[in-house]
Amino acid sequence: MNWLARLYYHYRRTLKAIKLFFIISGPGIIVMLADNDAGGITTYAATGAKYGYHLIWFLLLLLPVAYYVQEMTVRLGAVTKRGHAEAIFESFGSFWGWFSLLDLFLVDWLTLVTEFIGMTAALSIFHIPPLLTVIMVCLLMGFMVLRGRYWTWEKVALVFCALNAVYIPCAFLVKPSLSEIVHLGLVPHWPGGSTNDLFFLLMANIGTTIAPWMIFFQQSSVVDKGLLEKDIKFGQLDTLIGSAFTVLVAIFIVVVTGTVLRGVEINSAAQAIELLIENHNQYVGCLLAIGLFNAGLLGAICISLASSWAFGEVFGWAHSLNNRIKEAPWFYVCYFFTLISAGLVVLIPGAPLVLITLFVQVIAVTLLPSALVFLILLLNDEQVMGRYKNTLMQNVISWTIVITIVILSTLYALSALFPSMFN
Amino acid sequence: MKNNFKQIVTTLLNEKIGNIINDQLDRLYAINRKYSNPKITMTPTVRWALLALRLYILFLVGILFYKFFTWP
Repeated sequence: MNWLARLYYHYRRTLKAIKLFFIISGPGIIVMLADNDAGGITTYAATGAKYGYHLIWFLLLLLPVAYYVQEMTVRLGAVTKRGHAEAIFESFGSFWGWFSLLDLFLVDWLTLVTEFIGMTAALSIFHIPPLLTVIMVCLLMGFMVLRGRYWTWEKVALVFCALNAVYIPCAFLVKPSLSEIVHLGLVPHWPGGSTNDLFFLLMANIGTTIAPWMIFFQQSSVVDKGLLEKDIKFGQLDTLIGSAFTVLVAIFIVVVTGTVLRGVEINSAAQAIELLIENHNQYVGCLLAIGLFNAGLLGAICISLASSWAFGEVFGWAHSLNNRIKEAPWFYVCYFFTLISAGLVVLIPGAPLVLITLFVQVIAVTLLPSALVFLILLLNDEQVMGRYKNTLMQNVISWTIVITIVILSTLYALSALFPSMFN
Repeated sequence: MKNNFKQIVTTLLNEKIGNIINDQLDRLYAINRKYSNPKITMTPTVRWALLALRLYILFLVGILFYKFFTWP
């Protein structure tokens, strides 16, 4: 009888933990799947087209990279109850604070423009004009926040996260060879030797895995959701699940383009989709177009909020999604300003969209190292973190990841600025 | 009559815009004052990391200026 009671107790306890996880989860999954934004989809499509399944092992390595960086934001947010921008101002002073805030705004705005480029390109495949796409996106994103409830926003965002599943049937529809995926994809090697092209693609893949806005977004999101220190474990699990999903989505895209577009030079995801529709499978192309639109939308949803949260924290405005427009006017002004202005840029005839895409990579590199270094330094401040500060092992892993990312992303930015440098 | 009305509106608008700008500037100064002293414990690691970051950013800004002036 005693064992039966114990079993029932464990059953109830597990059930309660699962329920609690579903309540607490959200920021990690959303930020990770939003990481696979329009630019990310292009990078994965190009990786698959250029190297087939050969770099799947490398994508798997990006799972711990994404997890270890983003997990730190969960702890920092839950312990300090402050967003990353505010934490930088408070701990490192106004110079680094203003630098991070203004750089974040610029990077976010430019990235938002690239999301709109991806979304308009995806819907133009269905003959929807860019103007209509921009209006639809702005209205939808307005609807998501105007209810004045964080939960509503999160639920809608999670629905868009679930739409990432479109890549799974795509991968099955192109009928890839499972044995080839296992033999070529899961054994670490450099396809064709260590060439500049390969190095450029590896850097691009790392660059899409960790973006500055993700750090700011997840920490603010954790604070807005009201996670406490006792919720950190669930927040970490949420981030781990999100990291696994993001890598899985990347692998499915690589499998699709690696199967049907192998050896083709891809410059944009939209180009890959058009090639698929014209030469291979129309349904796969249409599903990928939906996926590309969804990727841009999810990226836009998170990026526009990252800036608004950061400004709200620093300027002391009410800055929660639980506030209505009347209660937090400046927060929503910031949100809609970044959103609408970025959308309008795409509609300008002859706008330098290629230059903007290039500029995003370079400007992001100016912010990423400082955001990552500040994150680790804050996680090591005992006064701030108490018993949640980084352990020695976490520091070794985090510093290794950060130094590698800084070096590779700098080289990536340099190669974008000076293409002949690595030839 | 019409000119007077225009003048009043212009004065009021200027005053209002001026007030908004002044308020925001006051807020900026207040933020700078509030965060004038970094609160992090200045260990050698923190000092070196901040120095490295300053040098890194100077390097990047230099590269960007170089690219800007040599843009074809």
